[in-house]
Amino acid sequence: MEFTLKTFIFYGFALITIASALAVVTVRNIVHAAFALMVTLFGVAGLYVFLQADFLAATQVIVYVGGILVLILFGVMMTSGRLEMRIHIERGQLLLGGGISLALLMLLLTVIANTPKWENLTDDGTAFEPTTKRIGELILNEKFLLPFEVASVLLLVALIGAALISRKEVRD
Amino acid sequence: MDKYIRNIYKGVYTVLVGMRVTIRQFFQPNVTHQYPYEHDFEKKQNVREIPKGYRGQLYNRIEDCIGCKKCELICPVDCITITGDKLPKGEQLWDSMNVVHLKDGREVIGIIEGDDKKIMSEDSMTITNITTRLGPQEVIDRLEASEDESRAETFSTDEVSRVVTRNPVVFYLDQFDIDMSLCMYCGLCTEVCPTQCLVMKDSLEGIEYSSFDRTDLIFEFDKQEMYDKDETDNTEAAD
Amino acid sequence: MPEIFSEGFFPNINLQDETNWATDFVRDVIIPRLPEAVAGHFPVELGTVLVMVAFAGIFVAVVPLLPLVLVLAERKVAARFQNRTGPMRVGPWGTLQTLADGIKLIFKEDYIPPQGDKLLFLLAPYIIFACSFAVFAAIPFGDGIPIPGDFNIGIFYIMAISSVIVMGVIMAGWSSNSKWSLLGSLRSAAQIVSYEIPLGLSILTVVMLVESLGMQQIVASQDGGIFTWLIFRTPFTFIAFFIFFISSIAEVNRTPFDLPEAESEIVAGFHTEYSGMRFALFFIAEYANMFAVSAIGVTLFLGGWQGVLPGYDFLGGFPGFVIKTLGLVFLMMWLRWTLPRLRVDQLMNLCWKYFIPISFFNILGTGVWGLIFRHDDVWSIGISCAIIYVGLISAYAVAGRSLARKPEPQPS
Repeated sequence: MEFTLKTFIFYGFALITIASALAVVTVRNIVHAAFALMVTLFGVAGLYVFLQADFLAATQVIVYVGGILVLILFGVMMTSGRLEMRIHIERGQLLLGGGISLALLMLLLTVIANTPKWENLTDDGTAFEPTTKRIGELILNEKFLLPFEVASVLLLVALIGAALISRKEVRD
Repeated sequence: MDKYIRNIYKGVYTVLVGMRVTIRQFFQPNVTHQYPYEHDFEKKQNVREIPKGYRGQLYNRIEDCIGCKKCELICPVDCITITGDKLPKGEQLWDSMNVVHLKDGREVIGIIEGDDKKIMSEDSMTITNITTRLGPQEVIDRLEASEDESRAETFSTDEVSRVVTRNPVVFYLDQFDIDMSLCMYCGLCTEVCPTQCLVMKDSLEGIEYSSFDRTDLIFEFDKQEMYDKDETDNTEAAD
Repeated sequence: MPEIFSEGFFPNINLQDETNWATDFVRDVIIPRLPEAVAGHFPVELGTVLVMVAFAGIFVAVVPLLPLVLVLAERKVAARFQNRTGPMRVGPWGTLQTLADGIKLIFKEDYIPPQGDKLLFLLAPYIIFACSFAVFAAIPFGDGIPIPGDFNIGIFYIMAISSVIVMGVIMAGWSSNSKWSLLGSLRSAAQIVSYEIPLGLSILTVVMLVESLGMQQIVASQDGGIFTWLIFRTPFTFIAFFIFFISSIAEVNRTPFDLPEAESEIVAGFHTEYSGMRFALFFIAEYANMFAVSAIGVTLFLGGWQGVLPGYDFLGGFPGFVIKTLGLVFLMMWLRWTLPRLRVDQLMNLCWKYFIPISFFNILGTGVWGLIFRHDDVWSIGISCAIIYVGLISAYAVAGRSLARKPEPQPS
């Protein structure tokens, strides 16, 4: 395959994503791990850009980095008793965990190998179509209306639940 | 619901009222004096009147000072420094010049050769270093112009109606420094001065002491140049 | 590059006026050949990368001059509001004051809290700084000026990047190893995250009318004089503009929303422990952010670089854009020196109970309006302006009458 600028940048993003994902699971300091998660999510957003999903990339940044990661950080900072967790793993647990991870890895590789159509990184002549309009049509018109509404109801339930739990008790 | 809408109205309306107040202030002239480039406080409209008895800058009329050092003793912050000497033997200093009033109304200001108290009993008098002014400053000028012998005149005693003698200075103040950076304007030194020569000025004149060097603020009230005993000093003599 | 740029990296410059030979030369000869020329014997992609880096470098060198001017402007404007003159000594009429402040800050001791998190402490100002500046890439400054971030999702990109500022704020507060800094940063993060919602919803009203997320398209749809500016097109976008503006003041943490960083409240909130040039970075980032959100407000609601009359002769083009943005910045300063500070629960109350319902109401109204008046013609704009006018007059009358009554005692 030819080495164009796209290839280099793609590998750069992939490297950032994988390295920070490794940092998330291996770093001792929880807060550092949370911020490494931010870098991972940025890397994933970059990979979305390479898949020509522009709207999705921006949504990824807004929702994950600006929302969910803030929530994670609030949780970590408010409740961190000990920042440096040294988890002691016994050998039996290591074998069992390793086995399951290997099985999952095999599963993923099989799925990847059996995917019929791979997109080339180089241009194959198809024009870029802005995805926002298409996403809007799919969600609200064509295929995904019901899941969209169910997701909205779920969010509404979560909102009401949060407000209910954190409400001041009204004493009669 | 009604309360809700009223809250919104109130919020917006009060914010707008506040903004109107502020923007009105935006167009008012500013009240900043660019000190020390603009000293003319009196020219701006917003200066208060100075009340009577205001304790301003210190000023000493040195010709009246008898060097009793009471002010130096009483000053709470020791800002006055006085050194007074008696003259060494044989030296004489004079505090002014002779004024000879002639019968035709003229005045001649100069120095009479000889004893000026007994000069009227002589036949004639010679007046040297004639100047046109009178006063202690002229003594300084006299010292500077002391080489000019040509300004001498001789009068006969018949033309002279009156001679003003000059007084020898027996005691002179070598040093009378007031460190204005220390002065706290309590006025105690003015209260104890027996000759009332140390006074505080009644105006805003000279109260801004801003300078770049602290030694600029030591005001020297002595008159050493007058007595030809000047040492180098770098200050403003407050006359 | 992946074609998320709507016109490629070096877009087709269309100027309304006649172009002169210099512009033609630059556009047709120099710019397309620049990557090759830079790359030399290396592959052309290296040249492209270097040219992009050079543009970014010019950007980073030029854009911080803006906060320099804005800091001085803030001080002079604040002084005018308070009947005084502001800094006058350094430079003619105090114009070099910010430079002197910067030099002073460079000389300060670089203090890193010893028990704090050193890596995060060092990283936090850069994240805030970078995100505040990355927003400038997507704002259309003038007609025909090529912007590097000419995306199809322009306004969405801006929202995404300004969401990352929250992470920098939390990072700064946490790594300072001081409970006041942490509290200040968490409060500030909560405030920014909460006010992003009315911000986004107000942007949504604009996007609904323009039917595109791209910044150039939004500006292009406002040509035709002052009454096609999106603020006047429906009465709901009129309200949305003010919601947007106030939410953006809350986003940049300015008074009356600056509880997290006010000096009398929590020392300085999340940037207490920063000194010297790091603090200067926060400061510059705040003023750049202020300018950026004003610029976005101008682009979305006040016509961008479109002028008052059709064709951009009057208050149009790049100077017109800058004048409008500086007008909004002046409005921010005016509000700063008028209003007292809001407590954090009052702030949250305002956002969740007032702004969000009003924003939803705006979206509903804009949607209905867009269904009724399918095309923007004289009728729709005229009716909307009439509604705005009547609404303002009646609000003034009602408010005046209701406030003239004796205020009843209310529980706070």
